Amino acid sequence: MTRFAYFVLRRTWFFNRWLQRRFTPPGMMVLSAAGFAAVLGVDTDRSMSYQMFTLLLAALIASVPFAVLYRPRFAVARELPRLATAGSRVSYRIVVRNDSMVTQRGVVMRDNLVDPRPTFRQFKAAVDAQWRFFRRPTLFDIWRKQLAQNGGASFDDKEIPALPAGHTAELTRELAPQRRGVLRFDKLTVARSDPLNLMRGSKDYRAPAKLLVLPKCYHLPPLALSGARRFQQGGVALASSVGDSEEFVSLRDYRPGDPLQRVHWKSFARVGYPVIKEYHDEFFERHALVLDTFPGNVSADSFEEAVAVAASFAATVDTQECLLDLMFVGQETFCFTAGRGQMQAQQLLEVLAVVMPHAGGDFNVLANSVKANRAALSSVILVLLSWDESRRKLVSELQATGLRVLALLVADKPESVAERMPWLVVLQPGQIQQGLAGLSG
Amino acid sequence: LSLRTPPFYLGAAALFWAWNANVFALGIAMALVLEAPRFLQARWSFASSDFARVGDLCTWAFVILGGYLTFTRGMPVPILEIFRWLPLVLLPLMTAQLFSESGRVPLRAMFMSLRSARYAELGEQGVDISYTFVVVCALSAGAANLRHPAYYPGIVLLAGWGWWSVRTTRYPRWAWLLTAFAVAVAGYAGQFGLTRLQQIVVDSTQSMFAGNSRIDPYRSTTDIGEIGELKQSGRILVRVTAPEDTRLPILLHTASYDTYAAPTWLGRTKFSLFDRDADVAHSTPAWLALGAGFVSLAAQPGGTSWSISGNTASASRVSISQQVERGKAVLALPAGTFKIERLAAENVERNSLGTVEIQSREELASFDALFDSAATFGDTPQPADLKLPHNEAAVLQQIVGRLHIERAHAPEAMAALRRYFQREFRYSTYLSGGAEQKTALANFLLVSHAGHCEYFATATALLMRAAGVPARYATGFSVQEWSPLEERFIARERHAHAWAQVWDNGRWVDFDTTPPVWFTAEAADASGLQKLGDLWSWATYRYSVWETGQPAARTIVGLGLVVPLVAILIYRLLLQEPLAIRRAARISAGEKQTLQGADSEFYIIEARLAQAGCSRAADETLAAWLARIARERSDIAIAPLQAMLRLHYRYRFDPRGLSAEERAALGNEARRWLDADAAPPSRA
Repeated sequence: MTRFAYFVLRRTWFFNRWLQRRFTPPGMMVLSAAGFAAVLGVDTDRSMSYQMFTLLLAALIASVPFAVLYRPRFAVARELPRLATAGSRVSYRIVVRNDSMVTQRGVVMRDNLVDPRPTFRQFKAAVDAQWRFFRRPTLFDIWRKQLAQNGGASFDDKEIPALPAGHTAELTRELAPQRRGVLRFDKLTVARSDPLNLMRGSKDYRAPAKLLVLPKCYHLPPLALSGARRFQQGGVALASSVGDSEEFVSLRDYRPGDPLQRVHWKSFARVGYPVIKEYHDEFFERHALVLDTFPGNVSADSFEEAVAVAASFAATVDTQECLLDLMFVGQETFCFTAGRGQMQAQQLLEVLAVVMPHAGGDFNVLANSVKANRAALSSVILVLLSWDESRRKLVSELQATGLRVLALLVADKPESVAERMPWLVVLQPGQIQQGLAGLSG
Repeated sequence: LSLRTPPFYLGAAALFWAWNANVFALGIAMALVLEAPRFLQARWSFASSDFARVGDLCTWAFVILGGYLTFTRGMPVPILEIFRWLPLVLLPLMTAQLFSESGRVPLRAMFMSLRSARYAELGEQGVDISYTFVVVCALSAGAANLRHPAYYPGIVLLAGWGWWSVRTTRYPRWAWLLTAFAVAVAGYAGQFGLTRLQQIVVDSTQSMFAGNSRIDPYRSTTDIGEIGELKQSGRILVRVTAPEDTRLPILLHTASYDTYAAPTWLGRTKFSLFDRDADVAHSTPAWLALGAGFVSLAAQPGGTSWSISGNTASASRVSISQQVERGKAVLALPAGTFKIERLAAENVERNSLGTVEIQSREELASFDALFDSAATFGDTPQPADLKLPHNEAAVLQQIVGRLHIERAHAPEAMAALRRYFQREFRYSTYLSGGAEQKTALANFLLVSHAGHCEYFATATALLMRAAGVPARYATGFSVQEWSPLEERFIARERHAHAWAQVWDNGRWVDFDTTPPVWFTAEAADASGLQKLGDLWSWATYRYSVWETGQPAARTIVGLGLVVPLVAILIYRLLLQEPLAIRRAARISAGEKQTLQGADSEFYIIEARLAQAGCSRAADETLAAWLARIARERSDIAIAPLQAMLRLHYRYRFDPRGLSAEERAALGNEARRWLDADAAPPSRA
């Protein structure tokens, strides 16, 4: 059943795309009009639509040779920016050179993303997880969603201005990626239509490219995170020299366990027992941004919103003076640190651009990882997908150690959360910005 | 699809439709509405929901029109009829688009299925439906089927106009003109091929297309030689009310034919798309009524009775109802009908073979037939009634020789043939292929010995002729099914029957050699849904009967359907949710918006203070204004106002608003201040 549905959807998608590529918009209109005219005019005694059908059919047939016989000679290249942000427009350029001997007019350029159709395995996994007989989502809904997830956007055709032989033209294209992740570009297509502008002949040029789409960010109100500085055990490797870096304080007697590198050999020689150099310990403001990647039965939209919320914090928290740890669990537990000569906020966004939900995982893995680092942390921002016992426990344990905790819960049904705590903000997909606007301090 | 139509294109399309649908005045009005936006500046800013309502209006109009037409006209005419009126159905949506600011119809407004949240990503994405409207006009013009010779040139002009407006810059104009001309010519030539193709398809599939139940008095194409199962529908075509003592089956005669045109099976492959004269020699064997011209009968006083032949002494009476298709019907009459009474018809004609055809404006022909089964039916025999087709003659002579009925008297020949067919033949609606004989009839007579009524009737008529007795081929209905629902006899499409008419003793007598089992054999094929179909058929029949006796019937039904629709619309448009259409041009002129917290009592305080000479400057925030008052006016207590202002600000701008207690506190504080400081002294 699933296989059959997959086969049909896949074929239909392909046929649909073939129609869109072969026919111009007027051509599609003529094709459908011819179809209707054929149905209505099937009995030539009862309706005159068959005359319309023969005219439109003749027009379509006349277009076929133009569509089939087209051998354009162009050189094309696409110039992409490195990054884009979901939800905002990004423009890029396509450079076309006319390698033929004549001026080319009325030629259109089409850009293509790679085939967004999911594989059967992906489709089946989603169907097994979501589909029930006679319930939403339908198989088609699942298919549509997967197409969108795989970057199923399509581009409009853009006409290349009249291009004399040997000349080059630059086309600026705009695109508004709706989802974070990697946008993979495929071929560039050059096409031209027949005199009646019904069908197109086209040629594809290979031009694979990738564009990393960062998650969208919400606007956050000015945040006052905890300013408490915490001891950073062993210092922060590569921390910039600005601020509380390694500074000699004093000498003291050796205590078992002191590293050999810290032995002050000259004093050892002078006094006859080991003396240890003591340095000023490093203290930093350090905040953890913890992203819950265990979706459970939460919708994919909620997860996307959670990533967007995390991205908003990553982009907003000023890492000039503090450290920001981004923690989440993927194939393993990850912790990326930004600030003080470590990663840039933008790099955190790049990480967030490719975070995937970790279905079937255990939240305690992430919880333990946060708890293990709590001594170094000034505050914790938790972006959660659900509010259950293990999450409650994590928050209470962190609060018990005196940490400031801000928990942001992205929930489809905010009314299902009973607690009303100042540190617990429930955000509803679709109204995230309003929810975040209420944050203060 | 977003293509702007060229100027006056929409109006021209509407006029073209109206001209073809014979509603030219309506077309002019439509064209004026459609072209008005070119001259009027005013546009409305329709919200998506407003478009959705207009879309719903169109959908409802479509559904109700479809229902009305299905009920009053019967299937399958409505599909074409609905199409005929489709431009009118679409007009509200088209007009809404033309007068809207966006100039597009949101996709989600057009299709209810897209309105669910699952398609939220479509948002306000809209389409321009102008070209769709033009296509609909063109299709509807064709569906109206008034067969104007200028329909094709009109379509060419309309299509060419559209194509011209969307042509690319790639080709010079002459190339476009050349292509368009070639396409127009090819399309014109294609029409003839298509008409011819249809002829072939219809001939070879028979009765597959609905409406084929109409009887052609000049030609009866048979299924003789068709390979495979013969299927006919259970649609009720004729209703008969007969006295209780009537003997069954009642054979109702529709038409008789005198010439058998039988091609060989080999000839069947010779299709010619363009040869219109090939009809007679066409593949399927057919009985033709050659040279039997129709003569109009004079109506008797009163205009509802027609005498077909001279009165006879004994008469029986049956009441018959049958459908009139496209204004014409060949009446199904019992043998020996001499008079038709209580028939509403414009004209009644009869040919020399006894076929009676009427022209009527009604959907239903209901009449009483007076008949005397001993009376003759049709004129004296002609030479054609003895003619044998040359390719069948040898086989026929051979059998007649075997039965020893050459130059026999009619009764003897009939008895011999009845015996012959009873003993050696069986009824079958299935015919396997593999012709060993040259013709289908020879195959039936010599090899298969099985066939349906057309075989038996054809063979009988031709064998009688071979025996020297004038004979004809007659078609009609064998009525023997009693409908408990309708309490009368009914004849379905599959009860259509064929038999021979033989000239015996100075009159034509019916001679049916088909084994009587055929009726049960055909009934076995009845569809399981037949009961439902019968119920529908009965309902539409009752309606037709009512409509025939009710001059204003259509108006009544129309109003019955339209009035509730209008009521629903008025309810939806005006009462349920007031239509929020604003004229775009007037938006700037004092547009009122309901803002959050607009009812804050702080505004009353502001007004009071303004009266007291402390009016707020246009560029001043409330906080700055209060601070200024505090500086300038020591007589006004500002502190409580500042506390109120904080609440007011939150009430106005905080997305979460105020809690109920805070809201009440703001109101109470404000009232207290207003009461206490009822009249702050003016500085003046």
